[in-house]
Amino acid sequence: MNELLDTFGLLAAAMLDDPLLALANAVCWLDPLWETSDDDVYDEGDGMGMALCITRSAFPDIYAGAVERIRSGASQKELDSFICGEISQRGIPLDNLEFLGYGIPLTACGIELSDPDLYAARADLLPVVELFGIRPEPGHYNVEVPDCAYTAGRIIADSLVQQDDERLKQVGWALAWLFSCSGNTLIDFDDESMAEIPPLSWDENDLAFAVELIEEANCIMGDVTAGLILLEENPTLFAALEVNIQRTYKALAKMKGKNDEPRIRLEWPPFESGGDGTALADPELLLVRRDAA
Amino acid sequence: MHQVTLTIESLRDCLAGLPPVELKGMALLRERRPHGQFFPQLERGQMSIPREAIAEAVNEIVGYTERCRRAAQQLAKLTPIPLTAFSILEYGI
Repeated sequence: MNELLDTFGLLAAAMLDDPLLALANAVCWLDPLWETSDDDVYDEGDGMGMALCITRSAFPDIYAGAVERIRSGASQKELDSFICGEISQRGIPLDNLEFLGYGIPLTACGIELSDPDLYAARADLLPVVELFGIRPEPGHYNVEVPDCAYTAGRIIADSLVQQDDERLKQVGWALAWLFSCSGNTLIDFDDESMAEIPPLSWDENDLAFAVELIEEANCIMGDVTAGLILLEENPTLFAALEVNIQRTYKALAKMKGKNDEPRIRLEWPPFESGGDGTALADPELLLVRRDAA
Repeated sequence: MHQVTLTIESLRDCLAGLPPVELKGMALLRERRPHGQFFPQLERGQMSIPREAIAEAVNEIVGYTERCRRAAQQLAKLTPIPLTAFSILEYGI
């Protein structure tokens, strides 16, 4: 090709041979927001700008991918979908970029036992909470929860979680969720409580913590669902829970308001050892089910 | 006392003698710039360059930008330092 016709190529190559121009080109390519501060885009309410600023520091490869897409003419919707999808893959579930500027979005899974709406949405919880003396009545704005229910719930959940059998642990996590005592904020806090604590920032430490928190919460919620199903399907286990709740309530009543924890020996029905925690052919329980039928 | 003399030329030579910065992004750009275009493009919606390499390059450039910004801020706030054993001829009082 005639060198004059390839002026663009010659100039571009010459630019990359010069250290200063090569640096300027690399910055234009990989970091076009080098002069933009988070405050600028936050003040302007620029959601996409904010997303780019956040990815610039927290997810540099997503930032580079987004910049490349902008350069290729991607629409706002495509860009939104790309950034949300990529951040979700890193363990932070994200549906849209709207709330990105307010810190790491965290979804609370916790519940409030005194809220009647809970039982409208989750009628499956009624048999379990009734064991603790919680009986929602229609037309009431508030559900009465006995004073000792949370203490008893925590004691029983702790006992179950310490069992060797995975299925008993799952029931324990179900109770830990019901009584907000799992130790994981996402499990123990509802949306209202979550809104009262400062959000996590997008810095490296907070991000690692959020990913761990969400991952743990997902595991716990999996166990919560499995535990509630186990309780629903195993009358022996349900009966054992009832006995242990009554035992705990009595022990708490004897404490007469003392702050010390009562020492209670709770007993749980044995499961056949299976090891993997999935539904097992348990002769004892199958027998009970047949009897119940 | 031994006097060290610095002229504007020697100061310029000193700064000009610093090796130019070489960042990963600059090397990537030299290697991957397609003919007739300024920057590497997406291929079927994906970058042809490995993500790890891109992330490293962006991290490095962002870090470099930040260091430069801080250095500029510090230089802007420098307080005068009396030089007793050092004279810059052009600015002699």
